[in-house]
Amino acid sequence: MNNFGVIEIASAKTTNAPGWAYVPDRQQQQHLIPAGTTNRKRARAAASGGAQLSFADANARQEAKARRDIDALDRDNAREVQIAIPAKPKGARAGGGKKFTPNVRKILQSQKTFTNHLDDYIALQSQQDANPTPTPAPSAANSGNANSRSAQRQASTSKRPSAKLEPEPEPEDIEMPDASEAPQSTILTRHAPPPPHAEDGNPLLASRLPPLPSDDELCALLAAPPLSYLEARGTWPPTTGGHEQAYPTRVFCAICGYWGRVRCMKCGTRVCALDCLETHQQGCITRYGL
Amino acid sequence: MAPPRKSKPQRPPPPSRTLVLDNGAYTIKAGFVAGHIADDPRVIPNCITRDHDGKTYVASEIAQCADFSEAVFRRPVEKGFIVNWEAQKEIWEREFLDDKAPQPCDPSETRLLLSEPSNSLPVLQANCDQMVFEEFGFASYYRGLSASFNAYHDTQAIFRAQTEPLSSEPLPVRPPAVAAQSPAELVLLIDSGHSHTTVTPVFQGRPIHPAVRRLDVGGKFLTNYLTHVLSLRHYDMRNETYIVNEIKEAACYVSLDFKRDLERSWKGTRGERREPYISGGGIAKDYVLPDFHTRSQGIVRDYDPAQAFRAKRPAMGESSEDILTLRNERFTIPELLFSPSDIGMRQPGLPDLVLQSLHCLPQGLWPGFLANILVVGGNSLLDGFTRRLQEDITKLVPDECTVRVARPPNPITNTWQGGANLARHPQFDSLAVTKLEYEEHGSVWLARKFAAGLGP
Repeated sequence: MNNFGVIEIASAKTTNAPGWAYVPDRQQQQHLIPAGTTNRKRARAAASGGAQLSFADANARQEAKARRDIDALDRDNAREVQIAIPAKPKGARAGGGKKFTPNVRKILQSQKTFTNHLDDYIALQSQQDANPTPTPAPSAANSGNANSRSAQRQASTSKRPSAKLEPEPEPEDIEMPDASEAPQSTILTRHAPPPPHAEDGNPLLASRLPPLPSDDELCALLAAPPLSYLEARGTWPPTTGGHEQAYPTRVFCAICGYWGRVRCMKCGTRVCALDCLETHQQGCITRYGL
Repeated sequence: MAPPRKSKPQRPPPPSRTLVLDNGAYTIKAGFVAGHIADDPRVIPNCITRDHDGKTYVASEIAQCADFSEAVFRRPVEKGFIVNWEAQKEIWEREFLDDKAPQPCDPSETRLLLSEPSNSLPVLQANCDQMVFEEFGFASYYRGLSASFNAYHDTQAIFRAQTEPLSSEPLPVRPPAVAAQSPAELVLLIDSGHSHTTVTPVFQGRPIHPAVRRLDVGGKFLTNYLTHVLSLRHYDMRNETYIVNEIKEAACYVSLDFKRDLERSWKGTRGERREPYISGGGIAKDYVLPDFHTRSQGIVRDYDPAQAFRAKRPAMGESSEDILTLRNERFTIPELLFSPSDIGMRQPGLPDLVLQSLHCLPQGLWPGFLANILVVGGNSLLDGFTRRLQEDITKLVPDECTVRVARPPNPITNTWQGGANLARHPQFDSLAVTKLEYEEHGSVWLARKFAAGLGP
């Protein structure tokens, strides 16, 4: 494909919409090149997110292609097909003569896809964000660890009517025998403690359990509103696993699927070895020239 | 006066009859609950199919279709949500509402229990409610998260069945009567379906919304990726979604040791003859493609090196079969569930997703949820899925935590069964909304009531 040096920039916009909607451009402006470097490659790597990105050196064109490929994998059929609803067999209840209510007619005639609905929803959200009304925000994302941790602390320090006799459990881990003496919860099902054992007092065998959440905390969790569709998606890179740096992503041979150990010098596609490289170059040369 | 029903003349539907509907993207699971008796659910393909002759089949009519080459599908459910009501209405009418439908019912005398995935868009939910009452006219209706239905099971029995051969440690026994009455205390539900995979912590039958996480990899995605790979390496299968889906279901598995399997299925550098590659290494399989004349089902069989040798020289023997040799395609496809970044998707894999979900919960609940991970949905039928998931999660969580991952006996209809148990639950009447209430209070009130669910 000779595109005369025009490089397509990755874009999250979807255009095949009947009707239209304002879609806010939520792309993060990551193209801040660190001032210290004069190295062209380093600046480029930093601009594309550095090592966090799966393909650290992928340029905008490859990125757009990857995104297109992934979007293509979400389709029902390989090509666009229109399947009309077949006529009812004879003898079935005639539904055609029935009048639809206006709502129902609107729903039935809507040709919107899920993407259209999602774009509408995002546009509506951003509109609400822009000029907030007195009504509370529909959902507060509580995805951070720090948030829930602070909520936990807050809840554990607040007064509970059920905790009358027992002392307040420490926010730190406590020993297992203590767990059974924790204040009685009205929500959690009470289980009998395990039968006593001769070695229970052995400090080497002591197991530590984090304290169970209080009733208030559980109620707050259960009453929390659902996240929006996009917020519920897993966050990338996955840094919540304790290790800050995610594992480097794996690259595979574009031809046979083995590890992608070498790179085509023309287009940067990964292949495993000479055989696959030659197979790849047959297509690559017709695309990019010698 | 309605004409008399022919299929079930002996039992007029009592008003307490409930239609439990798990309206999935790939299949609908449907059945009736009357009193304390629940039918077996029927699994209906949720699509309108057109074969290459241009003949159209709606939902369960697909059984009449003999030739699936170049079949195309129209699915009313997109990303797990009912989007195209025109098609969905047609399918529901043909399956449940028409007089000659396989599971006929009169909506004005039936309660509807409908499942929906989490994090839906409000407009789609409102559309659904309006269709149910204004178009179909069901007598009463409840729409709930499909994940939470799965808690209405004796989940401990499922875990016992799974772990029995491994550990002889006695677990607290729960009487089955109690299990039917009340939902399980803690379940971390992983639903890996056609459109996506979700992780939902369910506490006493109620989902913990802030901790619900989704991965946009589902069965459809895997099938399409397999199509892409096969078209690149073997035949052009781009229009053969149905056949590729069968290949995926028959031959794909989740690798327990990805590096080793990949190594064993590599052909090697130029001129190298690697023994595992030539002999198949226990990984390569031959898939005999259906031709829809003599064979309407594909067959998986062990890789036969002699056969492959013959296929290269057509003069040596006429082979009437089209054979697809699957090597690393067998396990790199389901691997996407565990590391979607392999194809450049910027989403965490399933084990990481479970951890992200847990990080939204107080640590005191971690041990409980980790020991009660339940997987449902079609992808969980892949070989090795539960074991790999258990191993990967164990690596990520603190040492002291016991990780148990179990799959119910039938992961496809498990949600339906749970829904049927919920329909028999004494509190269900307070959950459902009648048509009168809807007409009085409107759809906003209805949305709020369903969102609140069972109070504490």
